[in-house]
Formats: sequence, structure tokens, C-alpha cells
Amino acid sequence: MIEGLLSGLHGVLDPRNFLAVVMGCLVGTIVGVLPGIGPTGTMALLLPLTYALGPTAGMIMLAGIWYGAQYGGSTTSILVNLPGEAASVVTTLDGYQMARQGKAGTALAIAAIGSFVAGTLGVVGLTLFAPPLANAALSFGPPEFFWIAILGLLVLSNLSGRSTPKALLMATLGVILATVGMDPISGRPRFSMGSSSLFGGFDFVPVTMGLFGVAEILYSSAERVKSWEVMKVRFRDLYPNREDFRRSAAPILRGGVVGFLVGLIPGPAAVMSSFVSYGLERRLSRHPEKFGHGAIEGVAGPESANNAATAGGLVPLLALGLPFAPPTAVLLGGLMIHGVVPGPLLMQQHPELFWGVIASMYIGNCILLILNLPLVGVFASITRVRPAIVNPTVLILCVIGAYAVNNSIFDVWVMWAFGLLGFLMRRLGFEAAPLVLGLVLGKMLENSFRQSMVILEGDIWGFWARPISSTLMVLAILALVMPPVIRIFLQSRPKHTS
Amino acid sequence: MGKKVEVWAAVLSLIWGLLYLLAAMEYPMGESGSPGPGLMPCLLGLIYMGLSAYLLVANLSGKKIGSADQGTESLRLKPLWRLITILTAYLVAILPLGFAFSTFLAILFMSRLMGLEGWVKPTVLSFVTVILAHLLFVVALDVPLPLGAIWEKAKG
Repeated sequence: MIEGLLSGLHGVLDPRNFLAVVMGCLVGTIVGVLPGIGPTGTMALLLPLTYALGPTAGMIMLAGIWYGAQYGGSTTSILVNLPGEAASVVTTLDGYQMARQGKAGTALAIAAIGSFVAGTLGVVGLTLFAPPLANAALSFGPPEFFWIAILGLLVLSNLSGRSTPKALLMATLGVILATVGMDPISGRPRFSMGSSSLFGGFDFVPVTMGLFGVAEILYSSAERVKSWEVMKVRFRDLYPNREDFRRSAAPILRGGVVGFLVGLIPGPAAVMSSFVSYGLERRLSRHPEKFGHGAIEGVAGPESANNAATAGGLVPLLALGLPFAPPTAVLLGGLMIHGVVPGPLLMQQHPELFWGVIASMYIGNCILLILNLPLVGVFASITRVRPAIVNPTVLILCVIGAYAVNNSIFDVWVMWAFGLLGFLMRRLGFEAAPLVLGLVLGKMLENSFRQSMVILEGDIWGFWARPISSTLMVLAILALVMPPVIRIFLQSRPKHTS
Repeated sequence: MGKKVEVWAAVLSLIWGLLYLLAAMEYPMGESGSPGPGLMPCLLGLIYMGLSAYLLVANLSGKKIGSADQGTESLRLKPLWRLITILTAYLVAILPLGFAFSTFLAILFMSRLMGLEGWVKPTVLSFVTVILAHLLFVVALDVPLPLGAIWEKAKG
């Protein structure tokens, strides 16, 4: 493990990889600061750039955008009362109140320091947990992979949307889209409608760019524009006093542990962890009444938790090839477009990538601390850039990005069609993340099912005979059944008490 | 977002699922020990139709299932339609006019539509974006962006 980590650190110091870390952290911070397009959309937009960077540097950059956005998100939450990123919503409660009391610098500094400490703790957890989990999963065969894919789709569908049936419908649609193109076993084209452009199926990049990037811009162009005022913060204000540090130390450490553990659970981990941490700090505080009125613990805990959660979220992705959150679904897609199959074999087949991504996060956290403390004023001023400048530029980037996949205008039309679909989906309350995950996991799901049936000689009960497969099957059934059962139980409880 | 729209969306989804299922049945199903290319699509079609039917029934019975976005009634549809028109025209124009010229025009009109005042600022933004995109994608990353049929014809 130490050897792998050291070789990963050595790899990150390669100029290309180092540039990818810096770029990812910088773009992530900017995206975190800017309300609107989030880290998932930005990661999707920059997927084509990974062709030029290669898989290792590409993944390092994409991961940097994800955890970098958690740092940046706090800036506008504190200074403008406007969360740049969903995971920073809870920071507005106390962060903005601190800013109004003239403690904006303290809040920003504690958010950055907490993010750094907890982010690093999270990466230590990732370093310790991912390799043994990947080793344990080496004995997996097609039946296990089939149930892993089912489990991934079910858990993300349960937690990412406002409605499980709608999310499941989207996940199924994603798998359906994955059936378009050449059948990998018989070599026969399916659902291509005679178009040679569809023989290869729907490319992940234009679909994701359309659903996340174009749909978001269409939506924001139709929304009424709000104006906001950014509070000014001076560099000399960025020094918390001893009392601030004393009050923040325990929430930061607790936030790190809570965030990492929530990150391991499927769902929007960064958002959930910040709320869990806020609730925990409020419960543990001797002065819970101060929460919502500028309590520094209300900034330190959640901002630490959302950073640690990103490291936790990478454990199932790197060890099992299972994306438990929308940004990890994009990372998974990014690996697959480079022909890298994520899963238990990733650590053995691509150690430079596996350890490179982990090592880059140690360095990335240091870079983010350096970027976010002295340059906080610069990043805050980014919110003044008008959507009239940002949105057309992002749309053009989407068009070029989609075109660059195969140098084909067909992919651009695919992106546009999925952009319109994404807009309609949002209007109707459907989430895009399960669709993308279905598209990514669809081929693996079908191939592993068909291979399993061949191995099991057509005996469907053979899935039960394999211990890991049956365990995963039980987990998948629980993931499907438990949420409605819990909901019914919770709905019936007030009736009993009344 | 009215309930009527959600009902229609579920109906369209159901019809789409049925069409997919019918198309999937054209492919061989294979045997249990060697499933063919049609088996998984058929199963998916059935699951998709089942979920669509559930949404339809739930919507018709007035059950609340993950409401549509809050505040969607206040969306401004006029600029949205204009943006859709500009982008569609842009995509149609890329191949005949070429990337540079069509992109210049697209950004010019999009930025004005999104609230950038006058003609000077949109023109500068369009010009700078086209130049930067060319330097990054064509020069640095070797992406062969379309030159334009008219330009290529003129070049002979």
C-alpha cells in the first residue's frame, strides 16, 4: 500500500499530471463559486479534454473538479448567502450570519482549513479502505458483476431523485439506450435504424453533456435573473483567533469522520453529509440556540464533512467500479471511454491510475488550501461575471466537446436532443443521474447477465448458489423494498402517537 | 407544471416503451443457456412499460409522485424558444458555413438574447471566444473543426 501510494505521488509530480491536479482544483473552485452549473455538469463538459490528457491525468482532473467544488461552494454561501454548490446550502445558515457580523474572513478561513483537514482525513480513509476492498472483490465473476450493476442502479435511483419510480424509469431508459448499437456477443446491430452512426451506440460524452450542460443552460436562460451583492473581505481578516480554532477543532474532526462514512453510502453524499454534520454539531453543542445566528461550528462541521464525503464516495468506485453518486457516474464513464474497466481489477491492471488519483487528492487538498485562502476575494468576484457571457461560452464548449468525440456532427445533434430531453425531464421532475448511470452500466449489466446464463447453463437459481452473488442479490432486493417500507412505517408513526 | 402534462408524459412514455418492446421482439431470444440479443431488450421494455403504467395510474389517481420543479410556472418561455431556435440554426449552419463563422454569429445572438447590451460587447465576446476556441481545440488539441462547405468549395 505504501509502495503504491509513493509511486502514485511520484506519478502526480509528472508535469502533465500535476497540471491536471492544478487545473481540476482551479476549475472546481470556480464552478463551486458560480451558482448554476455544478461539478457533475462541468465534469461532463470537460470529458473530451481527457482524450488529450490520457486516462490518469484525465481522471485526476475530473476528481479535482469534484472535490475542488466543495471548497469553492462555501465562498458564495458565506459572502453572498447564495450556495454555489448544493453541498454548501447548509453553510449559508451560519456562514452568512458570521459575515453580517463582520466575521466573513474567519468563516472563510475556517471553511478552507476544515475542508483541508477533513479532505485529507478522507483521502487517508480512501487509501486504507479501497485496496483491501478491491482485493476482496477479485473473486467476482459475471453473476457478481450483474448484481453489482443492479445494486448500483437501484441504490442510486432510490437516493438521487425525489421519486423512486421516476428514478427507476430513468435508470431503465439509460440501460435501454445502452442496448442501441452492435450487440457485443452476436455482433448484430440493434435499434440502429439503419444509421451507421448508431452502430457504435450512443456515446456517453454527448449524452452527458446534453443532459447536464445544455439542459442546465436552457433552464437558466428561462429563469428570472436575480442580482446579488458580494461582501468584501480583506486578506488580514482571514486569521481566526485562538477561540475560533478551539471551537472549530472538534467539529472539523467529527465532520471528517461523518463525511467519509456518509460518502460510502449511495446517494448525494456531499449534500447529505453536510446536513448530517450540521445536525450532529447542533445536537452536541452546549448552545444550540446560537445555530443559525453565526455559530462557527455550523460552518466548520458541514464544510469539513462535504470534502471528506468526496473521498468516501471514491471508495466504491475505485474498489468495486460502483458509482454511488452522480459525479462518480461521470468519473466511471470517463474511465470507460478510455477503455479502462473500473472494478476490483483496476488496482492490478492500472496501478498508476488507481494510486495516481488517490495521491493527487493529497496534493490537490494542499493546492486548494493555497488557492482558497489568499485568493478568496478573486474567486468571490467571479460571481459578478454575467450569465450572458458564461452561458453562450459554455454552450459553444458543449458543441465542440461533443463534436470532438468522433469528429462528427451527429454527436452534436445527439447532445442537443439530450439537452432538450434533459430540460423536459427537469420540468417533469425526472433526474438525469440515474439515466446516465444506466447508460454507463447498461453494457456491463447485459453482458454479465448473458455470460452468467452461459456459465450457469441456463439455471437462473444458480445465482443463489454463489455466496457473494446471493448476498448482493439480497442487498439489491433490500434496496428496492426497504425505502417504501420505511416510508410507510414513518407515515404510520404519527397516527400511533396521536 | 400541471397534472395534465404529467399524465400525457406518462402516456407518451408508455407508447415509447411499447414501440421499443415491439422492436426488441424482432431480435432472437436465444435459449436459457445462451440468451440471444433480443432477451435483455424485451425484459427492459417490459420493465419500462410497467414503470410508465405505474406513473400513469398514480397521476390519474391524483397521487403525488416526486413533484416537478418548484417555481416552473415563473419560467420565461419566450427567451427559451429563441435560444432553442438560435442553437438549432447554429447546428444546421456549422457544416455549410464552417465552425468559426457560425459560432461567431451564434454567440453574438445568444449573448444579446441573454442580456448583453448593444452590439460592441457581444461582438467582442464572439470574436474572443472564436479565437480562443480555435487556439485551444484546433491548434493545441488537433480537433479538425469544420471549415465550411462554402469555404472548402472556394478553396477548390
